[in-house]
Amino acid sequence: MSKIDVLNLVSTLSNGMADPVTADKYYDQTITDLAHENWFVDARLSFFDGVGDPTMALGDDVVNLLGLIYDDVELEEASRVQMDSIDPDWRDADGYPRSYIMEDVSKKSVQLHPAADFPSNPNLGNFGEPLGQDYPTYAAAVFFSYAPLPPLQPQYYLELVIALKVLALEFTRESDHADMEFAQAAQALSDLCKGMLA
Amino acid sequence: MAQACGPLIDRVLQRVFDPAGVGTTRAQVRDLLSRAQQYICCAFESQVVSVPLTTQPTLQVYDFASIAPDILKLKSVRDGSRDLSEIEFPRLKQIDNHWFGRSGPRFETFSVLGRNILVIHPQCPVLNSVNVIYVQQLPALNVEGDPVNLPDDQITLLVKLTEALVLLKQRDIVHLQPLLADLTQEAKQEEAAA
Repeated sequence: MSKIDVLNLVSTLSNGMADPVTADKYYDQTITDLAHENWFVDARLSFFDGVGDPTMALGDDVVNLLGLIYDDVELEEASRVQMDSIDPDWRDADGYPRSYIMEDVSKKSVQLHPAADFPSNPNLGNFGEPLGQDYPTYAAAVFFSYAPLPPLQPQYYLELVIALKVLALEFTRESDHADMEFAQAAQALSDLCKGMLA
Repeated sequence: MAQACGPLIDRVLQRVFDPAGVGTTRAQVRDLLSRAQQYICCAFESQVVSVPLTTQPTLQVYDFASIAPDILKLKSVRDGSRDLSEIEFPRLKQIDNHWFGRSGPRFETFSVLGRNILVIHPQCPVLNSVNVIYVQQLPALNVEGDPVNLPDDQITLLVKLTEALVLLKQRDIVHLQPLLADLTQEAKQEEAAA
């Protein structure tokens, strides 16, 4: 219900002038912007088959990668340029990963160096704690921010911040109801409320 | 402490020169009050509560939802009478890149990641417990008799913030701008005091 609540709030605060189609689009954009600021964070496991493929898929929902743990070691991020200068054949190495390289954020994957050549234990324990007692050997724990787009919902206390930001975007856009003063005031109120949550 | 929201709706509507609630209904003002009180509560840490958390063996990562459903901002973690030191998440790796698997005789630090994850470090091999201290979300104001659980000295700011939202709705930017400047200044003073 959260997206509907936010869009209703946008409609109320704009006295029905906001275009529902663009407001819907700006809702998604605002949620993604908040995800880039790490307001929504999660952690999950990733497994390896041990064949030495250096590419590790992060998942389409990952916005920022905040931490990557292989087995029990948090890997260092390295740049491709740095790796190329150390060893031009770094992609062919396999063993126990020590670092990861994010080549292209949009691909939602990272390259492990060296590539994992140990298969993850595919069996989770029975405790219901994948990041605790059930954590399998040679698996990875990924900490990341994500955008809670429907059916996921942002927290209730963020709804007003999001609605005000949507209003700011909607009334900045060239349209028959554009209003820069209103948009700036909505933006300022959104920033004020968000700042109070920090 | 804890006054009903009905009289606050009257105050907001009088301040925006719409005492009858013609341009903005009383229900709309109540909804805005309900939302605005969360920001005041968080900024001033008005409602701080403590909840026990049973820590599981070898588990360091806890979702906020598993601790309490109404966390607005996590403030601290206490092990008995000892406050754990807060650490930024990236610093865990700088101190020890094996932090995820490290266990110890007692908890030392905690880290908050976003608004969803609490890390308590190092892991403890047996069941244990800590107290989590957090700023609590205030209950929604569903009817005019519902109480606003903020101290009296913060009610004025709550009314001002709600007034600003109603002025935005009324497109009364002339009256909104000085109010916004005032609110921003007060929020900065609060930040500096914190």
